[in-house]
Amino acid sequence: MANLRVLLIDDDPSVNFLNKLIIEKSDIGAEIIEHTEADKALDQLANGQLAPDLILLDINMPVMNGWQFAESYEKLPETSRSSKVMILSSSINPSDKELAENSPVINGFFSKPLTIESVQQINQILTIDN
Amino acid sequence: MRFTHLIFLLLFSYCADLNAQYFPSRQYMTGDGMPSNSVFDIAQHPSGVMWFVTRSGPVYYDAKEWTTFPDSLNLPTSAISRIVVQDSVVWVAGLNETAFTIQYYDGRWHPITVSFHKAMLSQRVPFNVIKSEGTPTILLGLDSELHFRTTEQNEWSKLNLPGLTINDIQYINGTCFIATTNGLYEFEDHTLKKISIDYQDLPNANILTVNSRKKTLHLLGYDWYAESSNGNINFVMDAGLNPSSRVTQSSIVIDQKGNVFYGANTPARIINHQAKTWQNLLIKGENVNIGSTSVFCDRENNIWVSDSRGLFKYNVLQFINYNKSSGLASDEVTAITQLDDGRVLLGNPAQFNIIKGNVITKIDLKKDESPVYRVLDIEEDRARGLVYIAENDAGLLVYRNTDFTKPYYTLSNDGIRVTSIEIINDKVYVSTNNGLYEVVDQKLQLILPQKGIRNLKHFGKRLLLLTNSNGILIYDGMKILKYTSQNFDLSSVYQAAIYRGDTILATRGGIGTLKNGRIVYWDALSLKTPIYGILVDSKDRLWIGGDHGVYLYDGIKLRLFDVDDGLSGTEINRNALFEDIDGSIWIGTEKGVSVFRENMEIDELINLKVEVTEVITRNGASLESFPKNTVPYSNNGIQVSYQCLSYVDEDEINFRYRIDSTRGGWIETSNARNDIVFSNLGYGTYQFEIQARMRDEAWGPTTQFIFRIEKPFYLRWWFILLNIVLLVALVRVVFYFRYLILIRQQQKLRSEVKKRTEEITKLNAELEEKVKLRTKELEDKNLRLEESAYVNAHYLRGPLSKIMSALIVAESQEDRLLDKDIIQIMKESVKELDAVIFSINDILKEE
Repeated sequence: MANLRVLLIDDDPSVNFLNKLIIEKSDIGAEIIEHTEADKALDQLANGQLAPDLILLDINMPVMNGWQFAESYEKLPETSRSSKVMILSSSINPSDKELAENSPVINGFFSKPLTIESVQQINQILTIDN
Repeated sequence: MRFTHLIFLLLFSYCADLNAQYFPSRQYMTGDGMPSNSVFDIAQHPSGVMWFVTRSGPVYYDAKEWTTFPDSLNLPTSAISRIVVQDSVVWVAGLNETAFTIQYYDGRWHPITVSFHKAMLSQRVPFNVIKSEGTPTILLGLDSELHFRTTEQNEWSKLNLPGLTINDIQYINGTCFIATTNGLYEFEDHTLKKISIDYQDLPNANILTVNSRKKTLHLLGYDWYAESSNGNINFVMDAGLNPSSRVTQSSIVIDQKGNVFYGANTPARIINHQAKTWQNLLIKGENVNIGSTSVFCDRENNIWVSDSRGLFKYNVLQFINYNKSSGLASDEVTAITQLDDGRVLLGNPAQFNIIKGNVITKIDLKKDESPVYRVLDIEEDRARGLVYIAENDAGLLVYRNTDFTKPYYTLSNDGIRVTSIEIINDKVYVSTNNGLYEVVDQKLQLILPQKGIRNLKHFGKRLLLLTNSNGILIYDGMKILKYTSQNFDLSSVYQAAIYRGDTILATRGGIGTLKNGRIVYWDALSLKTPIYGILVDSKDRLWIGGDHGVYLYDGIKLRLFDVDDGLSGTEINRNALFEDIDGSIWIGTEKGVSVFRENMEIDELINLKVEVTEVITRNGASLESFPKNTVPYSNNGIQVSYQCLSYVDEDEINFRYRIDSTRGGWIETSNARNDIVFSNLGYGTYQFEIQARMRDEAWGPTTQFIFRIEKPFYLRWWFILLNIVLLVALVRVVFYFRYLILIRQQQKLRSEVKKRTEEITKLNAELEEKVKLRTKELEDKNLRLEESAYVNAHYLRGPLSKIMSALIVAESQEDRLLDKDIIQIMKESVKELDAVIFSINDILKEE
């Protein structure tokens, strides 16, 4: 399998940093891209500058939150939205999980902190889907 | 026997007339209500009311009240006034203050025009009214002329009898007799016809008046009385008229029993046909009426006599009485018997009377100083032709029955009182105060010593000794039976008799009888007052003499006769009740003897009939004015006026009445007031009944009428129905108004409920809104809290996640060392976490 490209979108750079370290420690050989602004990440996705396999998306973010991102991402051309989008949030609000399940573009919901086991689980999901 | 002490020598004897009897009588005067004591003529209306013409004019008497007429009517008031009743119309004729008048009364007075000058009128003006061809014809005798006219004629006709004077005009049973100074005429068909009478047998042909009964003419002439029947004239007697005065009024009447009475300015008299004599009618034995103007017999057989001293009435049907005034030796009659030849012996205390025919022979008994003389018993010894007289202390007097001029012999002893005589089988027994004797050879022979024998009586061979305190002893010639009583009065016996198988005794205690060897009260008749005499008459009636009259008992009814009935006295002596061979009962009393003749019909006297004269209702209208005697309820009271036109004894008439035979008893009342008022009668049908009786005699026939009080209007069906309808309507109206009220209340309630509901709804809405708002607020708050919790959790978990991530990274380092960046991250995360916690705390405080 080629290197898995993972886009981390979280407004807190320290979170992105720690998640990158954890993904790296998980030995899944993933290429990690960090983004702290969802709208710009979306723009890059839209114009094809980014083509991650997995997008780990935070919900509570300024300018564009995770849901707004998902909504916009859904509207992207099919070619621009080949990534699996999964929510990685510290929220324990059930409504967030419900929204995630009902969203056509979100493929999973993971609570922070991201663990090595959860990374491997995500990888396994992605592998099965491919 | 000491004759010196005895009586017996006949001092003298003399005769009197038995006709000197007297009847129960009454004198009416102004004090009784009459307008005047001068009464001139008498008549009786068919209704029974008595009419009289007096010095004050006509007057009528209904046995209770006298009714007069005003002077302004100019009715006759003179002594020649006459009154007659013809066909229920009362006629009067006579002089008033100014002229001669004739008037008739049929409810009011109608004058008849007369043209006779006062000077034409003699001292007597015979007057009568006859009925001729249905029209009343008035007849007047003016000396020799008979004037007549009908009420429809204006002119008088006349017939002349030259040389004669008309003495009287009598209309009897359809025949009009004209009595003249020379013969008797009959007025018929406006002519006068002389009646053929053989006047040769009479003193003269001067006929004062005439009457007729049972085809016999009774003629009163001057001065004679005669009777004529079948063409034969029978001179009876001299009339005893006063030759020195002219007769102005004369009358002759025959009563229902055939007794003839007459008067012609003389005392009214009764004729004794047997003796061919007359006797004045006496008032209690005295001549009071001395110049009668009229004699009249009413339908009850009372004899009325008018004169200038008043009005007199005699009850002839009752007892005929004799006393000293009427010829007896003295008043008290102590013993009575009748001799075989018919003579009656009446014992007085110290005399006796022998009555033969119409002659009373009085025998005085000479007596010496003996204390008690009294004829106690008289017995005839027919076998020996002797008469025994028991005269108490005077002993036993014995006369030959053919010679009462002196005693045949006498039997007397000192101290012996002879009380009674009884003859059995020719043996003469005599009782005295000390024993029973027999007269043997003109001597008293003692048979039985016994004190106090009061009387002797025998029934067959049994001789009863009646004692004054020891009851009775019955002696049959061999042995003696004694009957006494624990009741002392029953042991005091006066007389005995056998009545319907019972031996009854007259005792001081009343009527006794013998029962179980003793004297007891007689069950059949409870009389417990002293009884002295007993007599069982030939009609099986019991006469009982007591101390207040005599009782007559027929086995069913008991009737008392006393002085009010005309009995001479009150006390009946023990041997003074006697029935003669004619069946007449002689009753000896302390004031004379009364004779009850067998032809006297008692029932006729007591059969009083009441007449209801008027019945008026409460509003004064006559009951007759209401159809079927049905009176409206508003007029529910009646006043009944009644009268009993009996003149036997007006003061003793009693009435009893009842208003409804099914409910009430009889109410008794006297003759004092003759009307009864019933007020406030309830509705229904009533039967009024009334009866009358004389004293305590049997009640007479019932007079009755039926009337009806209608139901009051409020008990009529239509009124009740109307009330029901009105009630129903009222109920309906009440219900209707109630319904309306309820409807209004309901509407009000509904309005109120609606209002309240609206208020509540509004309130509810407000509350709901508040709840909703509050709920929303709560929900919002909850949501906010929830979100806040999630946010807080997110904010908390953010730094925590970073710390945990740092720890994960650290754990994954092989050297387990943390670089600076991670440590820095953890420090910042811890600070961040602390800040979040403070922030949450602030938020909670705000909430």
